[in-house]
Amino acid sequence: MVPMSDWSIEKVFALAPDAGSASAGQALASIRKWTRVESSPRALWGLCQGSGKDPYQVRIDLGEPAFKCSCPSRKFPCKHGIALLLLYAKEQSSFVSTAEPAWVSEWLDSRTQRAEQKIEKAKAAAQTPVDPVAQAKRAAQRDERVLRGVEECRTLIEDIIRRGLSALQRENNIEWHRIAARMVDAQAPGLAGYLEKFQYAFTSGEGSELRALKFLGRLHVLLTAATRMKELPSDLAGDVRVSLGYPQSKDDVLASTGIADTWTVLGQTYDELDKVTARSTWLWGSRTGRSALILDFAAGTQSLDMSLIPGMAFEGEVAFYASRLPMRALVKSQQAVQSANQHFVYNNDGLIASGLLSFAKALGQIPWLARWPMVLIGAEVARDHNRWCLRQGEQILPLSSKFCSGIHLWRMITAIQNRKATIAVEWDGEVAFPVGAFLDGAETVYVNLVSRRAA
Amino acid sequence: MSTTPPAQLEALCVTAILGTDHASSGSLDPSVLLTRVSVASTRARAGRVFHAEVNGIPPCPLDPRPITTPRQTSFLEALLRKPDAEVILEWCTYIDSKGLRVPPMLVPVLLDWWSNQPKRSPLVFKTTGSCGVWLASLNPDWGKAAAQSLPPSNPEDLWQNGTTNERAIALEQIRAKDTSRAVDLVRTTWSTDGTEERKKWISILAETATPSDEPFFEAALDDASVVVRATAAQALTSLPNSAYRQRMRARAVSMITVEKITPSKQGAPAVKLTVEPPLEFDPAWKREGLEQKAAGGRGRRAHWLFQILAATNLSMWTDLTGLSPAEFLIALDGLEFRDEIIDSLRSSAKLCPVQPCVLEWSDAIIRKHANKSERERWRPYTSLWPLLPVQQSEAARLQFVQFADTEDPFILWLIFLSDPRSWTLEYSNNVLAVLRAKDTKSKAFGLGIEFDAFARRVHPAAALAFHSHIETRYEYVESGDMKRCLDRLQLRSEMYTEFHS
Repeated sequence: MVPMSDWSIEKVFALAPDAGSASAGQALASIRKWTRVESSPRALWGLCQGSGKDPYQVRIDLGEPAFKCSCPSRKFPCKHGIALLLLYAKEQSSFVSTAEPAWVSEWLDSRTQRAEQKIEKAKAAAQTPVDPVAQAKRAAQRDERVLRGVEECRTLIEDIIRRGLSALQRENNIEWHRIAARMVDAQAPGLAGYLEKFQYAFTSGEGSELRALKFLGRLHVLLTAATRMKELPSDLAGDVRVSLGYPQSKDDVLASTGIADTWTVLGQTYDELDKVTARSTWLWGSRTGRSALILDFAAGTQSLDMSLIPGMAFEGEVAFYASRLPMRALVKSQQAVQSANQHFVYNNDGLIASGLLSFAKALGQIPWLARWPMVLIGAEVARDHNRWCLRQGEQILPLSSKFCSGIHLWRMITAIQNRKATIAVEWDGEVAFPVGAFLDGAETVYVNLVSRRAA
Repeated sequence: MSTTPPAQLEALCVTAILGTDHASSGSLDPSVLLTRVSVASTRARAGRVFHAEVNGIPPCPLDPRPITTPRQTSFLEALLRKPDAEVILEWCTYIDSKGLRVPPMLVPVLLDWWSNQPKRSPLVFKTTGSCGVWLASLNPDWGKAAAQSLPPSNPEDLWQNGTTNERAIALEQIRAKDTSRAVDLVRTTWSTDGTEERKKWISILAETATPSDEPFFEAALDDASVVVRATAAQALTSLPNSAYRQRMRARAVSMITVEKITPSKQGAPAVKLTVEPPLEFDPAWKREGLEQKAAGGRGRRAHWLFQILAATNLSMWTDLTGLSPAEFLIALDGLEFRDEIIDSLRSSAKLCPVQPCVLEWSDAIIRKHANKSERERWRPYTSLWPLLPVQQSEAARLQFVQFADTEDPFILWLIFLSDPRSWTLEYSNNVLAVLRAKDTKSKAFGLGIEFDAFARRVHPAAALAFHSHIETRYEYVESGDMKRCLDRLQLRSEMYTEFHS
């Protein structure tokens, strides 16, 4: 594996599980605090004196990156891991390049082994025979429970419409938490998520009624589809099940054939719902011209998986979940990690019109589709009074108010200024949320436009 | 359907808000409405094409100053993650003195933090360079913050046309450049300005009062408003040789009788002091801004006495009694109005810190009360130190510690920190020497606020030495407050080394 040579301080901090770890890491990122810092092509390690007798052994696998430290901290990565990587980002020259000591190489080898075992297990699991009768019975029971949840949800939203959104606002008498819990009990957690988003849209300020209503429209299509599952083509029925919250086996996906390509991480968005952070990572495969969406979740201040960092590119296989419109995926293998700066090739025309057309076609496949990636070439930042948008020739895309209300917009403006850039956005049918930009110059430079902290 | 999907949606939304049960257009099944909504909104989402006349943004002007190095920048990144206003300002001062600017990609975060600060230092904005100015022209919030914090380009114009707050800013700026011009300008609008404004102008001028302002302040004593008169009186009090102070001294002298006596025992004072405030409020005092009603927990006559003495030079007591400040304080014991007189000594020093012998007096007052049991009594007097020039205040504090002869770390820290200004390197080293000699292993409990202040004020070149002292001599350094203090010491020390190497 080739280590990423361009670790920036910002990238390192993006890995910190919380602000406390970041600042503690910063305090330790001084060569004085370390008795030894060394590196090999695939790893970094060092000894850091803590409050204990022996110094902590800190190891970093640069491939993913992955961390291990002998300190007792439950934070992951701990401040020592952050500090060592920060030090590497700041003063790479302080690291002595040498052979890995046993405590480092053994860990790295066990990691490789575990990764291999995982794939083996997935393959084996796919081949294990199951009792088809029992399985069918369990499936039928679940379908029945889910359908009851669907009916309850349908009654609820029809009742809301019958009595009026204004009555809902006035009386505010729905116990959302209890209903969400019942949806989970009905094994349709996807519906609980929809209802939570409806509530969010309903209390989102000016124009909230229309936003909430559109949302109910989308939910209505899903519920109708759910009651007519048997009439649907099997791939679409699969998508309905996914939206309702049927579990999908990661192992099945990992065992399926992946698509090999040079994948670029275009950017990430974060969605906080009920103390859970959902991160969406958008990938673009330059040879196949395919997009992929990787979802990760973290509860509270838990850290998210760190193997995909915006602006990097890797050779590898990505395996898609079954869908009429395969988009959600898992990374099956990842090699030759490098910066995307020199390797980003976008072989579509990159026009707003083409992006909108592909979204329209996608809606034709899955009408309740929530969002869609677009890459715009030669786009610039523009404004109509105080409403910000992206402009490409005569066409524009309005920007999401969530993007514009915080620091994201201003970081984008500072990065792009009045120039034209290639901008990756997440499109929801009404507004765009930019995630990353490639700036042309003497060499192409990627700028990540979203950070979890700022979100 | 002939209408466009967005128009249909608007109409459906009206029905949905009212509820299908209440819609005037006849009852509609909710599921039919939802189906229509989903069809129309899917059509709208799928068929959306946006055209609009929009404006691009102007380019960011070039800034010839180089940006900070990645290592220098990393300090600011850390500081912005957990904003620490004073240390951010320190960082900005360093880079400004080196002719550097903040890297553009950090400017939005810095401006966002800065614009939300109650006190915004123009220096921070300056370090953001042309990028900051450019972003402030695009972001109304930042533009407003910048306009409020930066010196106006044409203060005389602002003085004539601005709001009260803007005029105050303009006046401060004019005053800094040309003291008499500021007074002239205040005179031009005096007759039309309201009470609050007149009071504000005097307060601004009083901050940098010189003897040449005296006629103006004196004239303001004839103002119709009592608040304006009181403010003018305070301004006159701050001028050590003003006619106002002389009038006050004459009034004070008329209330005091000093009688030479043979001391009853060795060390006892050789004078007998009597203080007798008048029984009636002199109508002439009203013009001088004196309060007739009792206040400050004092009776009426005691309050008159206090106000008059507070506007009198401390040296008056030496002139009248021939006693040194320390002897005088002993002579006060047992005297009627003793507490009012002691309070007035402190007020006099505060109101006119440039009067002669102020250091000897404040020293004597603080020493008189410098023992542990009376801590609550001497603490108010430590507020005299910030009135002195930094070096004198530092010397006074060190001397006081020697005198107070305490080993209680809590008291030591309180004394060292009883001046909010930054420490010189010499003082920092001296304090460390005292602490090393006196401060045995102690608990850090209860010192959180003190350490917080200390970590901001200590000279960065001494920060590391303090860091190891605190880490080795204090227990419970893992507590949140202590940790923050130690982190700040380390950061400031590293910044200092980085910018001075």
